[in-house]
Amino acid sequence: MKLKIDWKHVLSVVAVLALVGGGAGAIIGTVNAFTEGIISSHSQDKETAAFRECFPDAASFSDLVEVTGKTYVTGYRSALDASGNEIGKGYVVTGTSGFGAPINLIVGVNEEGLVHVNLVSYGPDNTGGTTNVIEGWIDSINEDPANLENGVTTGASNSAGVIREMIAEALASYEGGGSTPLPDGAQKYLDLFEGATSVGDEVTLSGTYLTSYREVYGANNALLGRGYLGAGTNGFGVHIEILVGLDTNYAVTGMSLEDYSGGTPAETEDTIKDWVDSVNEDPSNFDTAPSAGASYATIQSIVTEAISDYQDGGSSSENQKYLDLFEGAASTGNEVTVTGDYITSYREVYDSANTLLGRAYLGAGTNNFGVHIEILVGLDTNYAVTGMLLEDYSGGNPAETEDTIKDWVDSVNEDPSNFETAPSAGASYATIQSIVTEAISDYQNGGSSSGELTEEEQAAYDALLPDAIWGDVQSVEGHDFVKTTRLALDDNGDTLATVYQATYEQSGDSLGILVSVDADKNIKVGYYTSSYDAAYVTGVKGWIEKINNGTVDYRDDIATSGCEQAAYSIAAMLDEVKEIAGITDPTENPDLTAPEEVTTMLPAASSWSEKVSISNVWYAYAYYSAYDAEGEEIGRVYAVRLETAADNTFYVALNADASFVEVKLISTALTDTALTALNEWISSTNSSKTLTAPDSENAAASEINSLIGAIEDAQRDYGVNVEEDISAKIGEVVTKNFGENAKYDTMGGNFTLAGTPEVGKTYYSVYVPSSDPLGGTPTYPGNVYVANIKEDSYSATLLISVGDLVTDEVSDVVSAVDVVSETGTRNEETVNRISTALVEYYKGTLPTDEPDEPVEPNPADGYTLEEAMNEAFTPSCYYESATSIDGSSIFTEYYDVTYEGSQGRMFTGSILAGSETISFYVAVDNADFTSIYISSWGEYEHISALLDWASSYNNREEPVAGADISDVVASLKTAMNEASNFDPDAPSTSIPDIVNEFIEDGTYASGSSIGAATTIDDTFTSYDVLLLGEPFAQIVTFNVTVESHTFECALAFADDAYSIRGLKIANTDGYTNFEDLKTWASSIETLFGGSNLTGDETYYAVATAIYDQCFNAYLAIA
Amino acid sequence: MGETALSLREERKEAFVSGIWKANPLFVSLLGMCPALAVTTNFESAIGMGILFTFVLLGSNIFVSLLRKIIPEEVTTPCYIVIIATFVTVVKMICEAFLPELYTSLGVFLSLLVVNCIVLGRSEAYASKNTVLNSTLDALGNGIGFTWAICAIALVREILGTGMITFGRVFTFIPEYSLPILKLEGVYDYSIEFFQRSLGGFLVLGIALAIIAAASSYKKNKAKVDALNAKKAAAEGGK
Repeated sequence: MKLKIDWKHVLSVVAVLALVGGGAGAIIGTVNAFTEGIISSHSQDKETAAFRECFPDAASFSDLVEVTGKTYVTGYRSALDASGNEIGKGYVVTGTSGFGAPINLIVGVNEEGLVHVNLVSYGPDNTGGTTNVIEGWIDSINEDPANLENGVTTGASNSAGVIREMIAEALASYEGGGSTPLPDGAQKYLDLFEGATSVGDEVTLSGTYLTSYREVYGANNALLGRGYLGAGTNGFGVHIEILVGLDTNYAVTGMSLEDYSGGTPAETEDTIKDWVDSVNEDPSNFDTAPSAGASYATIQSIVTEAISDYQDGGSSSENQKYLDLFEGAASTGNEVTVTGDYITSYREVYDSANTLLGRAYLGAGTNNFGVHIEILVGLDTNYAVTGMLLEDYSGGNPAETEDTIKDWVDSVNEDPSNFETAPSAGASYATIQSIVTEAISDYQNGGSSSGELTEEEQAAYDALLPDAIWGDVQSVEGHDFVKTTRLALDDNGDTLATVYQATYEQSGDSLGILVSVDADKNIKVGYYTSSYDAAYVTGVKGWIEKINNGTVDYRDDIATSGCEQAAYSIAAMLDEVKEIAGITDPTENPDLTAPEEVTTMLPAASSWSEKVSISNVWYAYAYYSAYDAEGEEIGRVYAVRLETAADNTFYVALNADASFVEVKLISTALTDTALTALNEWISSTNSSKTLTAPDSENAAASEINSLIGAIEDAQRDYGVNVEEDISAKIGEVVTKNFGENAKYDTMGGNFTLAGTPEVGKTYYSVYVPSSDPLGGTPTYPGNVYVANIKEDSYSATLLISVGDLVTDEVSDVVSAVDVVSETGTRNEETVNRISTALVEYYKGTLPTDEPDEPVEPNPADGYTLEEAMNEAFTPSCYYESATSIDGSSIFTEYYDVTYEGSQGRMFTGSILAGSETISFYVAVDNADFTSIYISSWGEYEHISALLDWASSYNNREEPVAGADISDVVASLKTAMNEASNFDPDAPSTSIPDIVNEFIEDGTYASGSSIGAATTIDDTFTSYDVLLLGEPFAQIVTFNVTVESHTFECALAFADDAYSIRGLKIANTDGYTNFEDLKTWASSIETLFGGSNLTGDETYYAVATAIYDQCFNAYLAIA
Repeated sequence: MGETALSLREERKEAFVSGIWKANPLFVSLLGMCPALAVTTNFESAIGMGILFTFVLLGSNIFVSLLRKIIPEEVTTPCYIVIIATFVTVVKMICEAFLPELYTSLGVFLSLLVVNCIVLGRSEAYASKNTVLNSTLDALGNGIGFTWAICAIALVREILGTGMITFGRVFTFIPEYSLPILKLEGVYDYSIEFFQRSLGGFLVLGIALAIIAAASSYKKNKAKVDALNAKKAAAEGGK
């Protein structure tokens, strides 16, 4: 039997499969084409954000540098500060998880090691329990890089292992100097410089000897110098090629003999090699000639040319041809692209004093015989030809005329006036004349054919400096943001300012600004262009205006800009402009930010920091840092306050080594003998620079002893970065002394304990969260205190744990001492004194086994706040100072209360009962139950019944109020209801619907919202309209009543605070012509034109009244 | 003729309504359990999953129904898979482009719609045998049924697990807002994080299934008792 194949059926199956597959592919392809760009943009945003998260302080990031030859690291971006210095690298690291899914990390690394790890993606879709485990682990690494070694014990251990390897490779890559393989042959350049890590691109030169150079960089991309490659032939025909390193002072750093061949080298090769070795050992040996004098002379020529090249910025580089066109030329400007008929670019040429000699224009054209001619022509500042170079003469029939033209060019170079003498090759001459004529024209009119500006761009320049006459736009290179510069000239041709055009581009967004810098280094910023939408641009322009007005600091006040992203971009661009223009930032080198009392104490200081507040030492509460001209800190002046019998404030100046300089009395309550004694001690101490304790009979002994402690306090703070060290240590100490589950809260800045001035004002309250999964109250096993001890030979910062420590088997209050920093031999007596005092203090804070019987408050006397607190929040509570309440007719303030690990609130309020005021406290506990405690009632006659009712109510007995007190009870219940529903974050008044209508109908930009209300007066209330969280316009509400009809009105203003955007009206009492009224109010034209004010008298009266009130509203906010 | 028209209308109504309640894919057919447990930790993700699921089901049902007469029997399953995978891929790309937070939130469970038994099941069981209109109604019904079911579970889990319902984290085009129900920061917190975990999901689903089973059982028993009572009453009346 033979198998019969139904080919028709097979074909139909194939056809259907092809149809389905093809259709699917077409659909997916179409959607992909549509979404690809958007997805890619998201991905880029995410990656950029990941880099930014690693280096939040970076001003910019370099382009991605691909890395090959690594297992996980695929590339990196350098994080750069505002000056372009590298502050770290963000490595793109890709691995595979335990389940074979991709893991993508950005690993931030700097010189100090791991900075931050960002999990960009884990697995194909970032979900599942393991993602949570890995995310948690990476978070813990970011909190403490030591956790990298811990790994995760369950859930994702394989992936954690891979991630650990990935991070390790990133770290190793950084240590390896940036992980990009060096270009071939670059190592020899590194060998010329100590500490060299990378090289720049090879720059080809066309000197007599030199052929190329590379710049060589060290750590942080600091330029170390250049490695020049040059070759020559000595008098004996030996070809010598050397690589010589020159540092930035043009001194030889090292040398490599690349070739020594031909001629008769044998006799001298070894001599030269030895000499090169000796130069590498000690570069100063370069000046000691070896016996092979001919070779030495050749090498010297090479090195001399190299030094010359380095000094003049490239005399033998490819710029040489430009320089050759001018006598005395030393350097050129950047190449400026020009779009003329013939000319394509030019460079400005300067002499060694940086005086402009003229321009060298490059142009090309084709003569009538089809010969392509390209020339470089020099024009001096009077537009006269200074020289010429024939770059190309090819195609067509050049043979017959090439020599003629070359000869003519030579004659022009010999004597530029020969330019006017036409050669016999007339067609070529005509072409060259056209090129030169266009160049002259371009030069004369300041750039008629140079980089064309759009109308928008030119308008931006004109808006920035309206009276300026504009020079050429010149391209500049080598900067992140600044792309061009342009001179603004006055009518006399004098420079008004240089205008820098800078553009910030990131993730598809761009923002361009113009920055003018005048001779006095004053800066003015202009808006140029951006891809932001119009609403955002308004904010950007407003921000620029504020910068120009000097009402904001373009960097410090970014948070208030309302357009943070753009403000950061503007700040980065302004920083770069300032750097280029050589403007020192006043915030970096302020004239004097410290008070005069401070600045006179360290007169050597060139600048001062802002005041820096400190809280972790006893007496000193702030300091100013003093800097020298190089920005090095040379000392500090501390502000110290003695909390002795009198309030005494001093400034204490210290040198950079924390040694004492001077103490100055600022304020004191001491008088007479004591003040005299204090001043005498200060005077002698300032002279002797020695802190000598006073006699016990000294009238200011107490203050002086405290002052000595204060000075030592300041010295200790300056010598030890206490707060950072403590932060690093506290977690470990809490875990060790109070167990693994213990956590801590930082209790801020107010703690004092008599007799222990060493104990810092900040301490740490330790707590252990409840193990009950449904919640529960934490336990508080103890506190950790900071002790700063400074004695003659002993200085230490200690953490003293006090409470029920896990290291102690008995359940008692004990202490443990952990060292943050310690020098010298510990004085156990001092430490014991402090520990004992802290233990006793701590014991005193604990509830005793048999607490004192609390005195029951007597409601008939009226509750005090303390009594109300104790009764409402049992067994004990803690509350801070009161917060006032605006907008409530009942309550004036409230207290946030903490009790038994829960939160509650106590409100202070009052109501009127007839003519009497009844004051009370309302407590709201964590379950929203309210209690009421009446504090005073004037002459209220039914107080007894009211107190009974309140007592029953507080006991949850649901009492019924008698007729005598029913009104008052109703008011109290309203009060309790208000307290129960109180939201501290809620705006004090609700926003009327008609105000919100302006947002809903698009009167304001998309994304706008209504902010806080401000009562202008009894009639008008103003609402802020917010954009990006910042108020930019206002809406004013008011009521108008005409003939028993009340109309609620809202008048919207534009961001200029006087243009009116619209009017909304609401009416709830059935006014018959309301629809007509709304129509009248719905457009500005009818509102102010009165075009349809043709109704009955009431209608007319209503409209007129509203119109008048609109005018008054305008006056009210104006 | 009138009878046929009525029958058709009822058939279409049945196609639409059945999946919403009577044959709800999650609560009655016990299909689609995986996403029902995985993406129901918050209400917004559940809504998102429901909408995307409905789109995939709609697309695949329509195309399977359109092609039902030309797809040879031997290759039905591969063809259905390709069609479903196409719509899942399209949904993924659109979601990643325009709702990246939802895309991240749903994660791998969006891709897994390719092998979702409801989608494949409705293609095989219904769309391959019915008209495009009926298949469309079936897809909409099952989509709505699945959506409300997972939204209900998510609502319970989010409220119990976090104490509040949060909007705007997944659908970022709306302002982020948390509606406190069992938790008000700093004031009270009765949330039980357990319900945010897998076991919490199982528990909520289990309780929901138990309630539905009990209700269904009660309804059946009541119908039986009513029938018996009616029979008895009829018998007594006969006497």
